[in-house]
This record gives sequence, C-alpha cells and structure tokens, in this order.
Amino acid sequence: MPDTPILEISRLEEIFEDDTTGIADLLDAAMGTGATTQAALREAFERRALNDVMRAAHSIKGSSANVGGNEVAEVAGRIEAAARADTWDGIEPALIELDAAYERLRTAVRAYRAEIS
Amino acid sequence: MNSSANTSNKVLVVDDVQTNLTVFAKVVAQIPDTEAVCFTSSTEALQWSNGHECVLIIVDQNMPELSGIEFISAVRSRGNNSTPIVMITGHSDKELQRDALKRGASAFLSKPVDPVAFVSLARNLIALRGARYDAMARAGAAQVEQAASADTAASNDRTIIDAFAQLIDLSDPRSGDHCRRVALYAEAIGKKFGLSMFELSILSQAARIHDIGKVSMPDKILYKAGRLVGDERDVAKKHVTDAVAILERFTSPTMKAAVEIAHFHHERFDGSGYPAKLAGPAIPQYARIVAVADTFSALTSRRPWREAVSVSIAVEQIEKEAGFGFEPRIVGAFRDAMPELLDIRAEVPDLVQVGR
Repeated sequence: MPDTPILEISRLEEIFEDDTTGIADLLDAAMGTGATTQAALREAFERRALNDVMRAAHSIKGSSANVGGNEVAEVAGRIEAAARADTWDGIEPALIELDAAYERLRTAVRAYRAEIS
Repeated sequence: MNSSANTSNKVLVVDDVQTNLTVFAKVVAQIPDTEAVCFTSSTEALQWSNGHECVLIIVDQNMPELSGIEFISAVRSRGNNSTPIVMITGHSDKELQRDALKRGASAFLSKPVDPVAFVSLARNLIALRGARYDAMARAGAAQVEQAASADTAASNDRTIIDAFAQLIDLSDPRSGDHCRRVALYAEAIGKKFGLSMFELSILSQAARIHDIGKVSMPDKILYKAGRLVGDERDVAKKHVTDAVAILERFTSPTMKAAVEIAHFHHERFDGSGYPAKLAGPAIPQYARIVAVADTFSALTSRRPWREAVSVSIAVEQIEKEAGFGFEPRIVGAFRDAMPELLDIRAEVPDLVQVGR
C-alpha cells in the first residue's frame, strides 16, 4: 500500500464546506482532465520528448494535488523532477506507478460519489 | 470566461486547468465583496484585463500560451502598476520568483493553495491596493483636511507594511521574528539617539520590512545549514537590491524610509559594506540605526552554523565596530538602550527552530 493518501478530501471540504456534490463534480472533472493529460504524458514518453514529459507531469502534479489526489501528485512530481534533471532514469517505472495510482484514485472518487449519494 | 457573481470587486484568475479555476473561484468567494473572473486562456485573460478593472490578479506560471511571467510583463507594460498580482509557482522556483518580482509580481503561492493563507494574503493585497488608490485620491485634494489626511496616510502605510511583513512571515517565519525584533531594537536605539516622535514612528514601521528582499532568496541559501561561501554570499547580498525593486514604487515618507533601510542596512560606516559602499553620513540615518539593531538581533540568535552568542559578547563585538562598521554615536545610544533591548529580547525571543 502507498504511504501517501490516495484521496485527501479535507482541503476541499474546507473550501466547498457542505457542498459535497460540488466536490464530487470537481473530482469527476479532474479525472477527465487527468485522463487527457495522462495520455499526453504517455505519448510524450513514446516520442522521447523529455520537455513535454516534464510539462505534462507538472500539470498532473498540480491539478491532482489541487483536488487532494496526493499519491498521483507525488508520482507525477517524481517524473517531473527526473525530466527536469534531464534524465530518463526511473521515468518508465514511474509511469507504470502513475497508471496504478490513477486507477486507485478513480476508485476512491467513485467511492466518494457513492458515499454522498 | 467564467464569472461567479455580479459584485463590484473582480479578482482575475488565470490557469489553463479548469478544475484549478473551479477551486480558486470557491476560495475567492470567501473574500467579502469579490467575484472571481476565470480564464483558461492567458491571451484571452490579457485581452479582458485591458478593458476591465480588477482588484487582484492570480496567475499560474506554467501555461501553454503566455506563461505567468509573460502575462505579468504584459499587464505591467500596459501601464497597470497598481493591481497586485499573485503568481502560482513552486517553492523551489526561487530564480523564477526573483525574475517575476522584477517584472511586477506582488507575491507567490504554491499549489495546492492553502485557502486560509490565500484569503489572508488576498485581503491584505486588496487592502494595500485600496490604500494606494486612497493616497492618490488624497493627492488630488491635498489642501483639504491635512491633519486628518496625515492620520489616514499613516494608517495606509501601516496597512502596506503589515502586508509585506506578512509576506516575510509566510516566506520564512524565522525572518519574520527577526524583523519584529529589529524594528523594536531600532526604535529603542533611535529614542536614545534623540530622534523625534515622528522619526521614531517612521523608523519603527519601516524597519519591520528591512529584509523584504529575502522573499526572493533561493531556499538552498536561505535555509543552508552552514556558512554561506563564494557565490552564495553574492546571491544572498542581492536581497538588498531586490527589496528596492519591490518597494520603490511607494512614495510616502515611511515607505521611502523603508526603501532606504532595506537598501542600505548592510553598508558599513567605514565604507566597506554593500551594496553601494557608502560611508559615514552618506548612509541614511535610519539605515545606520537599523544596522546596529540588525547585528544585535543576528548575533544573539541561533544560526544554522552556530549557537547564539551571549548579550555581553554581542555588545563587546558591536562596541569594537564603533567607527568601523557602525557610527560611534549610534553605538553609544545602543549601549544606553540596553535595558530596553533586554526587555524586547525577552518579549520576542528567538523561538523558531533553525532549518526546515
């Protein structure tokens, strides 16, 4: 099990207060955006375009941290750091980790939606 | 463009990720009498900003069209120097932050943005902008109620200084405590030196932000667990000129004093200091006083590479520097003010742990 929480909802609850539907909608939107950026990241990796890998990983890190997707943010942060350091070392295994972390996040988001409905 | 309500104070938010904007809009809604105007396109946001007034701009750095820094440059180049701009960036991007400050950024936040810190910072920056507008309005009616106007001007200066002092605190709590101590020490020394009540009021406010330039100092230098060497020292010394870039747009007597103090408090009486190697009376008087207060606070506080020295050793070192580092008459006032300085030291101790 990862040490970093998959979905940390407390910050969003502080911001959205009792608007749990608003939180769920935001999480769904974030999952949609995340899937697009995740595909762009994978595509940049296939092209061996390190700069695009860095940009996509940075975007995933920021947007997932913004909604409390801390595990995804942590893995994306590692990919970004490697790309920023101009190395491919560790990026491929981290991409596999990212896929798994995203899957866990999607499950957690679905569980949150079910919990509030 | 998304606009969340129809109130008068608009906060322009620019981020290419829609979900980030959704969260920002919610947080902005917590600031009374404001509405968020959100753009995922930085070029569209720039276009909007040309024809609309806003009280605050929040801009992400990494965007596909104009980057945050390019956006800030474009806003400032079009003559908008009054709207505060907060750039969203990583804590580690200090070089980027330095560049952004030079181009007109007012403050920085990192993702994920803490809502409490954001609301607090935003309210202060909006108040600061309001204070500047008030000051301009007063300038147009300079002959009316001068005494009342002076009181309000002082209040506006305090608002501005409070906002910058909070920035220092958010950036580095250890620097925040140091700045508070230095301001109180400087006031006590200034009193013994014979400054008027008016001068003491200016000094005690302006000295609170003497290290404002440190907000752009790289973390690896600000938090280094050892003495600075070589190039690191040169980078650290930039905090005095960075402060000028931040403060020079303000023109009240208190803010002018703040610029002088921030710029010249590392000059030495014998002309061997920095950044301008000024000597003797060429160093502004407030900066000469703060130099002694700053050194006393620094010597008697822990540093990553050494323990705090005792008060008696600090006094001895400062007295040895009379005529070299410091003006002899100010060192005399420092000695005379020692009972007050010890009281202040007890009230504002060096509590923050070294390093992060």
